Amino acid sequence: MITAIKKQITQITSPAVICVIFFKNLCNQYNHYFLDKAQYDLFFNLTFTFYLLCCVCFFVFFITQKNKIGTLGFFFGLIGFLTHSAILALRALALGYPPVSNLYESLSFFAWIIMLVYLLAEERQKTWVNGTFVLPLVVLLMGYALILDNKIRPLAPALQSPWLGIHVTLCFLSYSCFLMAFCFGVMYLWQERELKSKKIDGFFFRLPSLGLVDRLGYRSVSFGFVFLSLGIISGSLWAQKAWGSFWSWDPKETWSLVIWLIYVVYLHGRLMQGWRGRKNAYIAIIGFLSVLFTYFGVSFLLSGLHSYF
Amino acid sequence: MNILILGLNHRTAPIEIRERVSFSEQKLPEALRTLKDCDDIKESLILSTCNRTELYTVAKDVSGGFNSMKNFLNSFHKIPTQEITDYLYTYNNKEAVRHLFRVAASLDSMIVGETQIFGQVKDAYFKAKEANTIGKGLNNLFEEAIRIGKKVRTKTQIGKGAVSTSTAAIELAKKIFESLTDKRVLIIGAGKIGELTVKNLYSRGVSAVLVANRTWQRAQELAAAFKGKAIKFERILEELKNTDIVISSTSAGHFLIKFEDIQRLMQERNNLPLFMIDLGLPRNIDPQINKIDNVYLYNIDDLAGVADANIKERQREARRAEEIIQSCVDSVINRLELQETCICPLSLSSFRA
Repeated sequence: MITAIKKQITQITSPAVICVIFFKNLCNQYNHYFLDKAQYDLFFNLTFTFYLLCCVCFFVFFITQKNKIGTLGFFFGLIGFLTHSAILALRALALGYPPVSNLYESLSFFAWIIMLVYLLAEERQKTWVNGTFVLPLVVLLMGYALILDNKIRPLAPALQSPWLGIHVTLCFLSYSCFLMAFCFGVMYLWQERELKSKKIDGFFFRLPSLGLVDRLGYRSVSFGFVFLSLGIISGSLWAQKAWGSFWSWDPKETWSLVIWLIYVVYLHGRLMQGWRGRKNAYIAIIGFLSVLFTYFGVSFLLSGLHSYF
Repeated sequence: MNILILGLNHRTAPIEIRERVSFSEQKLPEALRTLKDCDDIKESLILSTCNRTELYTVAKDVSGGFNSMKNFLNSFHKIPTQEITDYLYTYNNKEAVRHLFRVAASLDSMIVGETQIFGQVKDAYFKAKEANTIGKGLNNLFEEAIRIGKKVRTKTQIGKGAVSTSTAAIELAKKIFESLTDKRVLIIGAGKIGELTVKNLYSRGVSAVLVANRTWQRAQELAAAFKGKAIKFERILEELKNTDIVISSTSAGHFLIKFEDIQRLMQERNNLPLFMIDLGLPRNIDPQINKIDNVYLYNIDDLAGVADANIKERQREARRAEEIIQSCVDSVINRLELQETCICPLSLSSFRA
């Protein structure tokens, strides 16, 4: 009787048991990635391909103005974002900390955050135009990451802190918002030139109205500014713990301050001086160029406390 | 099977002739049946719009069919032959198919790419279907024409872009402002195009219309038409502070609005964008004003330039549309088992003889 019940129970629970065993084996076998390297690479390539398809669709959309293609592009972007999220999550689980500790990881994470911000913004706007400007950078970042070595290395001792994820996420969120503002700025200047010169060509129809890009640009900068401020604060709190001082004029810190001041000028001009349109667009463009310099230039050209790549 | 077209349009005939041969909606069923009962004619369909009147038929014989159609047109409208002969054109078979497709795709219209004609072709088809005067031939042909009309509209940008001065102004306004519903419009002086532009803006739901005119009475009349407010001429600069779109069309011999005024004003209005349309001749607004940030000044020539650019764009698209049509004609000919176009039996010259 008892053996019969036992048999019953084993029969019922066996699929679950098999799953657990399978999962355990999986973990043991590919301990670092949950996937072996070939599988991990495959997923990464897949993500890259989806972003590339998304980018191509948005370009075709920009030229042909077919909404279906824009929607298709958005769809590709979304799928790419999901596979990207999956591999980042697996890597984080394997590492035990957020995957932002070397250039490869940081590029991939930056691209992911850009996609996150972009998809959230696009989900509301549904204009698809911004994608034509944002996606090329995502593809470039991912392409760069693709050629880098993705092996897992031990984490530098200074980075072993819960602040790592918080600080980097906040900074990347702000960078992504500034990227949006940059794209809106470019669109603004382009459309403004069409309107002022009175030579209407094909781009006139394809770019959104000045009012819209101006408003969205301002909104992006506002969000970005909040994130950057929080990023800097979190960084200095962490610096106090790790290096013993809140601020040590390391090149990255200095440049972050420069960026922060650029956007202070933007917001002050907008709110106090009534700057609108062209001036704001120029500042947003300069601001994001400084962001790029801070991200790449400082890491490669100027050595300091932040050089982990 | 032969497909024949006989008709006239805005290019071949003046309005005096077009209005005499047009078919009113009440008379159309009767006309369709009369035409179908003519010698040699098996199916009939009539397309009658303000720019064209065309008879479409399926006939046993090309020359006999054309003769019947012409006689029908003369007797139905009681017009002597010689009065309209010079204005008529005829197409048969392959040429007829091509012509119908071009009409349905709005390539044969006065304003290339206008959307009305597509609906009118569809309407004519349904009317003929109702009157039971079409059979397999015209049925298939018009189904095909409607399909191609749609295809051209979706595959090309032929219907895009404003092609008149007043609609060009609207298009520009939509590219400057995110939405027009919270915008205030000021119109100075009452000119025809200015009024038309305000009417267009008003139908797009601008929040307020202000009218300034030398004659107070005229200002009030115009303001009433747009549920707006008449203002005194001297108060223009003051009102400009809260206005987003200005349309000026007075015949004042000097600049009503000066560079310095707007420069000062832009600070007061916090640099909110200002769209100025100068329809006056001589100009009412200092052209230098366009150089001020967030101010967009367009005069009548600029607007015409925008409309022109759009017309050129449409013509470019029209060439692509022609290609689409060309590629469809042959397959349709095969499917409908039409004969080649015959040139000999009856042309415009033989009508005249």
